[in-house]
Amino acid sequence: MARLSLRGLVLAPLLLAALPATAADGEALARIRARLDANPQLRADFVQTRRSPDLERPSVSRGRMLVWGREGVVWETHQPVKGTVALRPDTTIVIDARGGRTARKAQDDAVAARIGRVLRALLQGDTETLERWFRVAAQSEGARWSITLTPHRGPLASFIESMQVGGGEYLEAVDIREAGGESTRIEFGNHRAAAPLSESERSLLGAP
Amino acid sequence: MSAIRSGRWWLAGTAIALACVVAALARITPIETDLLALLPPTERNPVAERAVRAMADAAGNRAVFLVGHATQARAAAAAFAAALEESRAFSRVQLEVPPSDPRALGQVHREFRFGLLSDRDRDLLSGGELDATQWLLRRLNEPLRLGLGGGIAQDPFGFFGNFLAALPYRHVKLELEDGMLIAREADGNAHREYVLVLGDLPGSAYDDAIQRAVVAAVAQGEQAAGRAAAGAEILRTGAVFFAEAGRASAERDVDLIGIGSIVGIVILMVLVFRSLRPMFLGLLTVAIALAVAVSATLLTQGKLHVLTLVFGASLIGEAIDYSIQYFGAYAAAGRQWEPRRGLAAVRPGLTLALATSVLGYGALMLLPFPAVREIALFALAGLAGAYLAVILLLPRVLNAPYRGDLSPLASRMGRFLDGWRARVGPRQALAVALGVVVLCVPGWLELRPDDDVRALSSRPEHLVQQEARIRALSGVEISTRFFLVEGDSAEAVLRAEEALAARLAPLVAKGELRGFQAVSSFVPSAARQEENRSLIRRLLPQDPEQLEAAFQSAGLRKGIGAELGTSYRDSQGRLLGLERWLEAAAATPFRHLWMGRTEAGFASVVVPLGTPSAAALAGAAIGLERVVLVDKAGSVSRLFAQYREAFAWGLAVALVVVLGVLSVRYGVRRGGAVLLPSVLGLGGALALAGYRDVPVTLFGMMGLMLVLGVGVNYAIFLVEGRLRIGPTGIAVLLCAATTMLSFGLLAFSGTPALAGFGAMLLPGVALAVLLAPLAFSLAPDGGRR
Repeated sequence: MARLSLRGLVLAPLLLAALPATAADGEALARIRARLDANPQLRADFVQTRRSPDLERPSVSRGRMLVWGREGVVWETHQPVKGTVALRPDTTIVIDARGGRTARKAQDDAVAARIGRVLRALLQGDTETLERWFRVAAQSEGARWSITLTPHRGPLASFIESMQVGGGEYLEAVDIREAGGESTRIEFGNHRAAAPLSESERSLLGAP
Repeated sequence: MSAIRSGRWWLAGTAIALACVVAALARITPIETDLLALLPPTERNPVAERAVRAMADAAGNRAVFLVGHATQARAAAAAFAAALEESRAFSRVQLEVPPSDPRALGQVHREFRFGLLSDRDRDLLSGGELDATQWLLRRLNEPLRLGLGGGIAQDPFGFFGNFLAALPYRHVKLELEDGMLIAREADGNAHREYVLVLGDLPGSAYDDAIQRAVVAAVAQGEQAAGRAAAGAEILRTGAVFFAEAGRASAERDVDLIGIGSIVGIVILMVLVFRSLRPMFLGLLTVAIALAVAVSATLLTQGKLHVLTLVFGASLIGEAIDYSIQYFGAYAAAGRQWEPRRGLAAVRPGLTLALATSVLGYGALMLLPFPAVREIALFALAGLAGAYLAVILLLPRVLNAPYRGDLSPLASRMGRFLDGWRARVGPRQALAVALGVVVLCVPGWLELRPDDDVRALSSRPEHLVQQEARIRALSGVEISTRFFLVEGDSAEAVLRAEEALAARLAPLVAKGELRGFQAVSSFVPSAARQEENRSLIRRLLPQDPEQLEAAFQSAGLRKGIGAELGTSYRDSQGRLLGLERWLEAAAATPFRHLWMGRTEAGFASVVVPLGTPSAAALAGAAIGLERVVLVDKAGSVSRLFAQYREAFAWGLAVALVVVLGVLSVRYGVRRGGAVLLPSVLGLGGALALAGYRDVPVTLFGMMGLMLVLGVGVNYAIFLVEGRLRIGPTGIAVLLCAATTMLSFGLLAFSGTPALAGFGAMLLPGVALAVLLAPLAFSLAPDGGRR
């Protein structure tokens, strides 16, 4: 899970949507959650920047993201290569540059299942699941907020050092520091209403 | 007088002592609980049979537990594992998985990575996707990315990471957390955790001592887990539990049938003969019969299967019949008793009875089922023992004349049968028969067959459910269906596996198959590795500077292109070998797939995952040389079905033959009358099975055969003995009672096969004996032409 940007992508927007307040940081989490609860469905553009000792200059990709409540998340990369990943609670669908579509059922793929479970847990406000993999700490100052996730001992820890999610009214940035010295920052902008869904998004999300 | 008296007590003592010896024998005898040992060889290929055995052992020699609790599963599992460890019932108990970097999973593969490609990457590369820059950009920006393959420098295109991600590990739902393997189940909004605990057995799962130790240890573990976390749930599976349950069920059966039939026989003998002597001597012959049967089976087979043991208990009822005949003559002779003359009177009948049994059981020994053969051998030896005991022993010990009197009982029976004969004429008899048929019809319409091989073993519902839950929670498959792949060399086997994998891939894509486990997924054939290397080489620009330029245009650090080119060239000619992988720790869960050298070359096993249709699986192997689908349970079930149908036809043929034989003696109409009670018995037994929704099995058909065999005898005895109708009626009832007491009690066995046999026999024999008087209602003059 070194390129665990996925987790970042998925976690961050959903965190905003549904993180309940239970921990010591409960109050901060509750405030953050209340703010983000207002927008369970939204679109945003993203810029993902990956840094690595093996990269002379950061690798930058651009695209847009769609969060559609409990149905899932669509991550569309436009540059420098085209590709789409749809994350649904039970299925992960990948569409490559030439339109080839592969779907993987969560129950047949433990990795996808774990991501799916994190997703569902987040959607359903199940902090228990989140805290199974991460130590969760929340800070909030005025309109600004941030959450820090540190993996517990276990396989995840050998890939991820920590994750940080932050923003104001909306989620604005996700930072992932990987154990191997690589890091990924995803910045979101141009937040807007999600509806209406395009035909292809509808089919990807299995939405009615 | 005192000599007779002391003789009697001596006899009683001997009988009891012998019975104890037999009971003890049954307890200390090596009892086989392995179902596989009793299944017929169904595969033409001996390597396939060996593979079946090896697969069963791979799954059988360990016990698998999931310790579940909503909040404290880990504490409960720790307590459980500690208790197991302390019990010393297991050679190894595993709770903690050694902490390891997940990236170590692919350690053995890393230095050979240029020869390893996932199927998807190979398809793309060979489909002409050869722009190195595109591959780099995709890998660097793909959001759903498992960096299993290592950093960008080691795995710039992501090929190695994709290869590792595609390995069949991903089907396993267990996750490593806190050093334990954890499965999870949604429980409303909450989650329930299950922790995996494995116990390796110190020996065979079919070893009696190991079974007892394991069951005791698990019971202690359960308590320990409950103390650590109240309400902790222990799910278990493994051959050892099924085998132990089979043994316990067989022991219950033996107690029930043994004690039931002995008590029944004692009561009957005392009631009928009103003397202890025939009863003790009868039990003595039974004890001798059983001792002979057990010794003969042990001498030839080395072990006694639980199935034989249970069936053997029912031999008591058959063995006693020989001595009953002898005592019948003894009682009839009264004061004129002279042992030698008595024996001469009984011997022809006994010899005939033994001869028919030898023929019957001899025919069973021709069946290709080791289970049935062992039972037939056991019965043959036992009956021969009973016969010899009656012929050789009884005349020597039974000298004093019979002082009892059978006549009151006999005359009461005679009055009843005479009354029947007077009141029930042919018309009424036909009406009764018709009534029985009408009652049967709805039951017949409900009949359905069942040829499941699991009928041969008792599979307690709670163990079956736990196994299903463990499968569902862990994603770990326990499959009896697999492909056997053979070749002249290890390389040929791997290539054949790859050809098979290409056939299975579309099934996986269609969702018919969840996936499959094959050694070639981990170790591609040398040919495939060379092919992969050349595909990767085509992607790398030949000119090192061009390669470097492509890498730099994607933003990679200077030098990575050159490093990659160097390590590619350095790895030239070095391919991942099978031995190397088999030695690696990561190979442990899959090592049993490789069978290695066999008498026919080399062999391996490919296990399909999920629940694909048999046709789809069989289709995948068609046309592939030396690849066969092995489905032991399916093959045996098909064999059961074939023989069940053959028995049905055999029963029909037997009816015609018996009718023919009876017609020779009685004429067709009266022959039919003699046969009628047995036919009604057969029909009634089948109808009852239909009403009870009990499926018809091969073993039920065997029971029906016996119903026909004994049922016809009862009618013949009655018709032939119409002049001494009282004593004849008593004898017939006694025979039917002993048969029902012994074989009939099998209906209550925990083993479905034996229960099916008994459930057909019990109502069939009961009906045949109750309706036997119909025979002389329809053939009033006894039928002699």
